[in-house]
Amino acid sequence: MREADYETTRSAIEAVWRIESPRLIAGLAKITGDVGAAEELAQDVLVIALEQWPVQGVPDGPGAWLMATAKHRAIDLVRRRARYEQKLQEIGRDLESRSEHAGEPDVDAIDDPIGDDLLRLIFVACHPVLSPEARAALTLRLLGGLTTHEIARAFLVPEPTIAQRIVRAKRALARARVPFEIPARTELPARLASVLEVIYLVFNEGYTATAGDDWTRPTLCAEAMRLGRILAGLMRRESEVHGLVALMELQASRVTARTGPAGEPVLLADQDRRRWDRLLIRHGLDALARAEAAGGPPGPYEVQAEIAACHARAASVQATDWERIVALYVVLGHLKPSPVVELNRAVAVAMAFGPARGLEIADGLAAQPALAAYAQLPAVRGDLLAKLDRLDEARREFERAAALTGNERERVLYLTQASALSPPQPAGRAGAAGTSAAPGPPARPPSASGRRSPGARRPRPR
Amino acid sequence: MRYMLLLSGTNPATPPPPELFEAIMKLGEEATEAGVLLDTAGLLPSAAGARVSLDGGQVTVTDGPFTESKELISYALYEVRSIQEAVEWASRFIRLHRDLWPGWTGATDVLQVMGPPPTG
Repeated sequence: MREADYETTRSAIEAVWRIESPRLIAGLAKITGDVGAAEELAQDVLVIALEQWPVQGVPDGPGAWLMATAKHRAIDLVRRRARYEQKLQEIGRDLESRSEHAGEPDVDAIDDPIGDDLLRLIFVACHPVLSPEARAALTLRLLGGLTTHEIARAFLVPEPTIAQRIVRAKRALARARVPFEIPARTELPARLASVLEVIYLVFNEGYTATAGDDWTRPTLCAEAMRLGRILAGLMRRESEVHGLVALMELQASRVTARTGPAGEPVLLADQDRRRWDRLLIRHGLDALARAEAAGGPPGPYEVQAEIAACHARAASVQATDWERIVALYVVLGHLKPSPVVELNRAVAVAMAFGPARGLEIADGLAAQPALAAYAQLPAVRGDLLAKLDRLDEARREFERAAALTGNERERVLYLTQASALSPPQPAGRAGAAGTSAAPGPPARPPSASGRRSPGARRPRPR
Repeated sequence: MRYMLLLSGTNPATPPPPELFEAIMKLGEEATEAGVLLDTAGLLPSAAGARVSLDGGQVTVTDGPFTESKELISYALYEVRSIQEAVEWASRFIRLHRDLWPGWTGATDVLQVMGPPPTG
């Protein structure tokens, strides 16, 4: 076989494996009871395919082939373990063993028509015994089929760090004897929250990335949305799953428009809405409708998605239903009290009822220790003060924001806003290059990791 | 990466078997559950359509059918991580036709949808 053919086959195999690996690993974990062993078995099967397919040709049903081969190896492993345990018992050793490892394995367990195993895998990978970072890495590995190298590249950390994180996570799961099962009803809300947190963390890692190459952000956002859609298919009645999918799709619809020609962040008010991704908006609004149809009181993801939907539906800033956004921020503030949510509410109140009302709320937040070093607070105050023609104060606020932000592009943005308000400048706000008229939204969603500045992008020509 | 899959082909004299529709539905379900299928729909024969063309400054509207080419049959919009993944989904779709509708010939074109340009 020619080198080029081999490479073509190899990438075809990798594509098949990526599509199949989550279900493969899930089915194997069901048999072995051990996510770590399941992942290693799945990797073994990939190696076998990479050896055989270039020589014998890709089988007709590559997914079924991978599944059958994996099943054989899993059964071998379980039988070996069973024999081993039997031997140990024969020599009189009392071994604490998992009952499902004894005797014949459940060979039909791997055929999983309704996706329960996949759901089990998601819950185990996002188990609260693991740190959020470990959960994210393990989820991307087991559910996303990403390589260690790719995960490391996505999180901007050295490859050995991720490799170690994954190994430790698997060990921690084994040590804690986390069963391969869907949590009981009583545990479900907390466990589901843990899963949703991981998916949104992956999304935000991509959405708010301040560094990293062009591959990083779209990959993480797309991966998180894909995971969310998978979960939504498996848990159709959970409104917050649909809410999270809606939130991610509606936010992602603005990705292209969030960056200017020189890579500078473009605030929502100044975005060219024709560049919003209509397909993602339609998807997000559909997901939001499913969240509403699922019933029950709306959770924080659904409410945030509702807010994003208000923007998505509006043809312009002026046409936006700001009163509804204010009401939604009030609801969100009850569900997830946070000064960041309050600051967002201040912006919405200013848009709905005038800058003076918004400024009152923002001023009330100045004493919040959580916001003491938060650049968005002076940025919002600067914007509102400018609208009230208190230009000197506004300029000082933008200068403060520039001093506080750790992001270079944001710093430039704030300094531009400050200098637009300098004394020789006339008070004509409308002409101030879209700066003082920008209403935000300033703050990242409250459940984001909070380590990065929102809206800051890598340079992108266009 | 987003890909548009366009299926075109020539139908044999035999009608499409119901098993094919069932298998296509099932594959679509799988792709949706895998979180990669964003949109898909079948297209009616071009006899039900029209063509608006520009030639020599002249805009012309012609009613279907457009007999000079194979009929477009369906489109599907996928969000996947590589062209190989899109090709794999296209291959699964084509294999269904091979297995369930003898005599059918056709092709799926896998085209990447333009996204944000890469950073320099």
